This record gives sequence, structure tokens and C-alpha cells, in this order.
Amino acid sequence: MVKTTDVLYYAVHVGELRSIIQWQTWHQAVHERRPDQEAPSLTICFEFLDKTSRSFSAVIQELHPELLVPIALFYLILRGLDTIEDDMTISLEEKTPLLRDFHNYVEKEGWNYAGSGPTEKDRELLVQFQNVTEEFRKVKPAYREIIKDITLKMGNGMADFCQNVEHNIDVVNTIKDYDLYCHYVAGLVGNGLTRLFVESGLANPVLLDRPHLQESMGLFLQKTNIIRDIKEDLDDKRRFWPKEIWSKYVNNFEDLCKPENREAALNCSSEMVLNSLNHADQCLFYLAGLKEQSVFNFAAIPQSMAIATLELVFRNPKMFEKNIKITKGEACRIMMQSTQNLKLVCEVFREFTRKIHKKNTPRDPNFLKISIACGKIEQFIETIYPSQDPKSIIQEPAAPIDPTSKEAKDQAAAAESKSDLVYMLIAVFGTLFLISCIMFGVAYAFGARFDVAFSELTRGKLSKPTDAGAAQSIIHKYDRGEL
Amino acid sequence: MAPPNYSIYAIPTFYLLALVPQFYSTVLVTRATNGRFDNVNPRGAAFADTCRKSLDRATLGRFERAKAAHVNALENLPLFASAVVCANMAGLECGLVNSTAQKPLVDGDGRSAEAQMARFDSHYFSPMDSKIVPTLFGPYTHSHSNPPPPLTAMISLPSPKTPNSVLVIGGCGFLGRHIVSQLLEPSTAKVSVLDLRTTNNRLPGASYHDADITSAEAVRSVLEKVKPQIIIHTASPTAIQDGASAAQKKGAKALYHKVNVGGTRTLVEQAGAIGCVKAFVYTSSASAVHDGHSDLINADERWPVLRAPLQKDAYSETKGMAEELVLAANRKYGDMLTVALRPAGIFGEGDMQLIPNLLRAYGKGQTRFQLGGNENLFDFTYVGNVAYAHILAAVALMDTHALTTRPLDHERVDGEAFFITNAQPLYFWDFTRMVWKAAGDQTTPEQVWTIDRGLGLRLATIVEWLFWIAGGRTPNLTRQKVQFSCMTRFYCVDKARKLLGYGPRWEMEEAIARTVQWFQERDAKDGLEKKVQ
Repeated sequence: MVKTTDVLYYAVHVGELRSIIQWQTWHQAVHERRPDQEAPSLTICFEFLDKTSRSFSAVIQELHPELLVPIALFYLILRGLDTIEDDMTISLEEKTPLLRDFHNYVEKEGWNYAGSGPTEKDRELLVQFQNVTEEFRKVKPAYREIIKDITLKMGNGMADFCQNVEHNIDVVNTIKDYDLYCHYVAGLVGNGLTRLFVESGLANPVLLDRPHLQESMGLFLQKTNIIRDIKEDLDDKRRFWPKEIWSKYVNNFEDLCKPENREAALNCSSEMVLNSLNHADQCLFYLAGLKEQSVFNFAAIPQSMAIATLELVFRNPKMFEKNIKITKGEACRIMMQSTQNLKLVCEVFREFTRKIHKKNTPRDPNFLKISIACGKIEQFIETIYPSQDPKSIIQEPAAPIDPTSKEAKDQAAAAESKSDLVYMLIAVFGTLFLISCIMFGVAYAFGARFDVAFSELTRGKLSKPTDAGAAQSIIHKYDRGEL
Repeated sequence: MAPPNYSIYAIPTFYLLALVPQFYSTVLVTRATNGRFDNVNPRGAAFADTCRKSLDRATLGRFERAKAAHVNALENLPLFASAVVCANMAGLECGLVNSTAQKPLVDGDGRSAEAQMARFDSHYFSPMDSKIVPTLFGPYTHSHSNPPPPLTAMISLPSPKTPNSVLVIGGCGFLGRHIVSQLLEPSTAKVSVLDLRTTNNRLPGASYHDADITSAEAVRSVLEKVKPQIIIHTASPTAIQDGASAAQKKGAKALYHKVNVGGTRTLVEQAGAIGCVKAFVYTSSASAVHDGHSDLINADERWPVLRAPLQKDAYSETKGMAEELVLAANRKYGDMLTVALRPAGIFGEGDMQLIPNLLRAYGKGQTRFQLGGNENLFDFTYVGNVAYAHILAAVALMDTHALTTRPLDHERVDGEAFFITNAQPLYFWDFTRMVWKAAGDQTTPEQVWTIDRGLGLRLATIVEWLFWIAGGRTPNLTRQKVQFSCMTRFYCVDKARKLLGYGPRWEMEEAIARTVQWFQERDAKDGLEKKVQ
């Protein structure tokens, strides 16, 4: 279904249309799924994957066969957990144990859950969850342990969060709370995925020793989404922006979307963007540790989308009016650039970093900090892909030139045109000189007093005397030698 | 009296000049064909063909080039004329870039002892230059609302039983004064200062000695009095401002050589001879590896120190030579250890170039102009952080000195050079705008008129050319300045982080706020004093 507005948009933005066409035509999956060899339960799982996530489904299905099923199931399990957490129709008494024990249910044969509210969009996934558990039990034990461990941690984090909400405690007060919340919902995923990548041998094991890099991968995505979804979340009475930040700009969280507070809200959002932007360089660092192309694509695409989204929301008042997102054309271009190598991903980051920098304004209280954060990303990119080599700075001695070579001829030609130029200049200045001489000569012949003019000039008088009498008196004085 | 505006006359001159190649081409052709050249309907289609037939190849080439030069010049005339008019309307000559793109300003080489500079100035430069000196320095005060973090918590010099004696050369200068002040903070050291003239910027707790570092006897007598274990050498003449005449430049070059190279050599030799000096810290310059016009991207200590002809700047070259001298002296005189620090773009309280120039531009209302696209990252370093790095370097040398074995190469501090920056490269104009904002500026990006690099260079060429015709003065808009504000120049300070434990004590935001506040307080005080008089 194509909307008229889309047609109009792409009629004007031909470049973006080109990106879409290119992506659709030329993009080749690194690995392809083999649906014909799949068990019926697995096929159902992939159908759910398509239904629950449009953006992740495609990249997951292109993953290396070793990780394809574990990561697809990992996604569905977390989606199930998330559906329970979000569901307001489930009572806290029922919800808490469900969340805390979810890691056990995922292995239980035939387990499913039909208690979700009727309007919950991913309800069906939980109702037919036995397909997921069945497939999950076929997964290699090492992967299973990792996924269960993350499910346990996230389930507990979500249960704590739900209890706090129920007791009306403001959950995200400080920036630390905000980071903790993002840790539970995204940082843990980063950790789990990293362990899966390393376990399968598709990523550098060093990544395991750098938990802050894994954390940044998740937090960068999550925080960016939280910023972008402000309007939607506010309409649903959810608040994820930490009070520590927004209270500097407005008194009530709801005031952020009021038109009269637009400037304050924009400044607030730029502090949120700054907070998110500080993770960007570490995400690039992390990506450098991925060896396999499909894994790289899987991890890089969301990150590139995140920096583009960050640029889109940065100082964009529309974010407080409606849900904004990057256009499909831009998304296709970014995906093309993000499915090749780290260098191109760095280019994407640099491009959007500079765009953010361009929109930065000194009126914003976070102006300098944002500038520094942008500089930090650029400097980091320079450290991994230096554009200068100290060795090349020391000039190499010029090689002797063969007189018959093309260069020698070029040089001779250049020398000739240079001498032409010199002649031309001589002609120009010669003409000027000649004309000047003639003019001065004519003036002299008609009685101009250059001697007087010169001595007056040297005394700093540049303008001519205002009336004829004054001029006469100067000449008079001059001739009498009174000066 | 305002100087007459010569630039307007450039327009008719340009036109006349544009005609010259046409004359030349006509003469050329007439001569080549012995006057039988058919010049009927010169703009007609058949004319080119006539030329091709009747002229030999070389002449034809010359003829066509001259014609093209004529046509080009005429085509460019409207552009040129409007550029001149625009430049006049925009007040460009009044020093738009002056404030921001000054070469020495960006180099941050203003760390010299200003007293020394004043004296050398009057010796070597015309009185015109020295007249600015007294206005640049107010008394140095610590009257800040937010005091710096306590130094004791982070660092103190070793062996507190017998306090170390530290001698700061150039300790009355911009940087030197900050070093003395930080050394006095934990007060575990005996601090002495050697400077050409020590009347300015004295701090209680330090002892002051007047001496000229180019004189071996003077230096020796102070060293014998002070008996320092640590020498921190920051003295250097001020890099010359743009717009100096050729004679001044020549004089300055001799001065740089005398003070930077000769003075440093004397100091190293005397310090080595006296026997008690364990650590010698030299303030070099980040510009030692930079030729002054090309981009320098994330440079680290692998980058070579440049010499002429690659190094076009005399000041930077002498700093590099002095640095080499100091580093070569490591472990040459007994066990005296040496290190060199290369700060980039220093600013701060007492700064005489970077911030005052920016504030002057703000005062003139030049905040609405910007040269270049502002995508060039630049390192600016707060003077307090530079001073802090000097103390860290001194401590590291003392630690090394206390070792019984020599450190491994990759852990070595002695004999090494280190870049020092705020580790927060900023887009060139963002720093500028932040300083202006701290001073009260309200300009928004929409109000800013951006002149891109190419146009800026062309305008500068025209302006420079006009000034040259008008009598050799250097205009405020020069190609060098355009290049400078469009240039990328930032460094990697990982080596200093790793080996010295360096990290900025003052973040950029606080550093700018402190600096601008200091200048405003000083100006307010100056204003008051003037009123009283």
C-alpha cells in the first residue's frame, strides 16, 4: 500500500528513492534461512518474529546459521517478557512471579500463557508460546544457559520496576536510575548477545572483558528510542526521562509537550541527546570486535539507525508534537552503508555527528558539552582510521625525471605557460607604468605642483584643501620656504 | 583620521588591467602576421578559423591565452567589484578575522614572561608594539567564586621531609605564574622564580630572582643561591603578531633564536654543571610538529618535529630546536633527567593573545561572521591544566630519579616529549562562540554570516593585494588567517595520560567561564581606576 504523501515525498527526494530501489535490488543476505528444512514449530516462531518486529526480523533472519535460531528465540523470549511487563491488565501479584520465573518457563514443555489483556498486540505469541519452548529446548546448552541467565536478570529487573511503579515511586529520578532502567531492558541484551557471539566464535573474546562496551551498545539504542518516543510515552502516561534532567527545564514532566515551553523542552531534549551521544564512540569500539559479516550487520544497523535518529530528534520541535522517525529512503541508505564494513559505519557516524554539530546553538545550555561529545566521536574515528600518517609528513626525495617522459613534457609546458604569465604581467605593469607616466607628464606640463603635493602628503595631509584660497596659500608658503 | 579607502579605486584599475591582455593579443597577432592580419569581425564565428590559418602554433596559443585572460578578467569584474563593495559594507578590513585567526593566538605561545617580552620588545621592535604590553596585564588574582580542586588530593611532590626546591624559569609569565601558584598550593616545596623582570605577578610564598637566561653568569649565580632539585623552564619571547614588518620579523627571528635556543642551552648547561638538579621540565610547543598551514589530525608523539623548509614559522622552529637540546641532555649531566611538554593553544587568566583578541572582537560586534564551515576540530588548552601537567612531569621525573634501575622504554618519561591539551578537541568556532557567550553574546547560528574557505581566501588575496598596492601594510584579513580558522589541528594525549597520569583538572566549560570572568573583573577594575583618575 503506497500512500500519496509518500509518492509526493519521494518524487521530490529522488536520492532517497534511489536508495530504496538500490537496497531492494542489490542487497544480498549474507546467509539465508532454509525454511524447507525447518520443523513446523520453528516456522511458527519465525512467523511470530515477523509479526512482533519488523525492523529486527530481517536482520535476524540473515544471521549466521549457528546463531540464527538462538537469537531469534532470544528475541521472542524477551518479547514475551516485555509483553507481560507492559500489560496493565495483569495484577501485580500475578505479574511479579511470572517475570521472576520466566527463565524456567522457557524450557518447560508446552508452557504458554493466556492471561494477557485482549488488546495486547503480542498476546498471540504468549498464547502459543509452546512453540518457542519446544524449539528452545533444541538449542545448544551453552547458548541456552546464556539466554536463561539474561532472562532471569531482566525478569527480576522488570519485576522490581513494576513494583516501584505500583507503589507510585518515581522510578527514573536520577540519571543513575535511568541508566539502571536502560541496563535492565537493553544493557542486558547487549551482554547476552555478546556472550552468544563469543561463544559461537564469531566475535573477539576481548569483548567479554569490556562490559562497558556491551552496555553502551544497548544503552545507545534504548536511550535514543526513549528520547524519540517522548510524545507517545507521555500520551500513554509513561515517563522514562530522568527527573534529574527534566526538572532543570520544566516543573512538571507533562509541561515538556506544551507549546509555550518549546524552548525549554528543546534544551531538555538536547541534554538527553548529549547523554545518549556519550555512548556513541564506545559502540564503534564494540563493532570493531565483530568478525563475522552477518553478526556485524546485525549489530551495526541498529546503531547507525540510532545515530541518525538522534540527529533527527536533536533540536527538533516536532518530536513533542508527534512521533517522528527517519524516512524509509534514508533508512535504506544507512542500511546499505552499515552492512559492509566498520569504516563505512564510521562514516555514517561522522556524517550524523557533524549534522548534530551543525544544529547545535550557543543558546542551548548544553552547547559546549555537545560540541565536545561530537569532537570526541570524531577523534575516536580518527584513532581507528587515521587520516594522517606521520611517516608521510617527512617529504620523500623527488625521483629524477626522465626528460622524454610525459611528466617532463608537462613540466616544460607548465614552464612555458609560466613564462607567458610573467610576460603578461610585465606587459600589464608596463602599460600601467606608461599610462601613469603620460598622465603625470601631461599634468606636469600643465603646471601641476608635485613638489608641493608630495611634501604635503609626507606631512600626512591626504585630502586636498577645501577652498582654492587655502591651496594658494600653501603654495605661497612653500615657495617662500616657510615650511 | 581614518585612512582613505583605496579599495574602491581597485575597480577601475581592475577594468584597465582587464584590457591589457586584449592589447597584448592584438599586438601579438599583428606582429606575427607582419601587420597583414585580418581583424574584421573579431567576434564572428569565422574569426577563430582565420586565426588558426594565419598563425603558427606557439603564437596561436599565446594569442588564445591572452584573449582568454581578457575575457576571464571581464567576466570576473562584476564579481570583483561586488566583492570589494561587500567587503567595504561588511567592514571586513576592520579586522573581522583579526580576533580569531591570529597565528600566535592559536599556537598559544603566549606563555612567555611578559616582563621579558616588554623589555625585548622595546629593544628589538618598534615602540608601536610595546605600547600594547602594559594594557595586557592586570594583577593576577584568585578572586573566583569557584576555587580549583585542591591540589593536595591529587598530587604532591615526593620526599616531604626535606622540601624540594623548585625553580620556575619565566615564573612571572602567563603559564609560569600558574605553575608557581599550583606549586604553592600544597606548599611542600620551596618555590623560586627566575625571570627577566620579576615585578609583575608575584605570589606570596615564592622567592624571586631577576636574571637574563641568555647570560651564563646571571643564571649561575641564581642557581647557586637557589640550589634547585627541579627546574621548570617556561620562558620564551612572545611570538610575533601578524602584521609586523619585515624588519620586525627579522628582529623577532633573531630574538627567538637567542632566547629559545641560546637561553635554553645556557640553562641546561648551567643546571647540569651545578650538580643538584634532578629534574628539568621544558615547555615546548605543540606547533613544533606543525607547519602552520596544513591540517594536523589527531597527531601524537610519532609526528616529526619540523625544521625549515618544512617548518615555515621561526618561532615554532626554535621551540623545536630547544626541545631537542633539552631532551638530548637527558642523563648527559650526571643523572639530571629531562622532559619536554608540548601544550597546544593555551588560554586562561592572564592570557594575552587568544582570549583578549576574542573579547576585542566581541566588543567590536564581530560575532556575526564566521570563516569556514566550522567542521575543523581544534585543541585549546586551559593554562591551569598545562601548569598541572608540568607538575605531574616533574613528579614523574623525581620518581624515575628515585629508581635504582632504568625504566623500560615504553614506561619512560625522561628524555620524552608529551603533547598536552584539554583532551577535548572543539570545533574552532564553537570555542569562539562559547567565549563570546560567556561574555554575554546572544548571537544565534541563523544570524551568522559564513564565508567559506575558498571565498575567504579569494577575498583575502584581493585585500592583501590592495594593501600591497596601497603601501605594504598588512591587512586584517589575510590568507594566513583564513587558513588558520579553517584548519584542523588536534592532538592525541594518550601518552601523557598513560605515562604522566595526566587528565584535565578543569573541564572546558569551567575553564572558559573562569577565564572570561577574570577578564571581565579586570576590565571592570581598570575602568574604575580610570574613572578615579
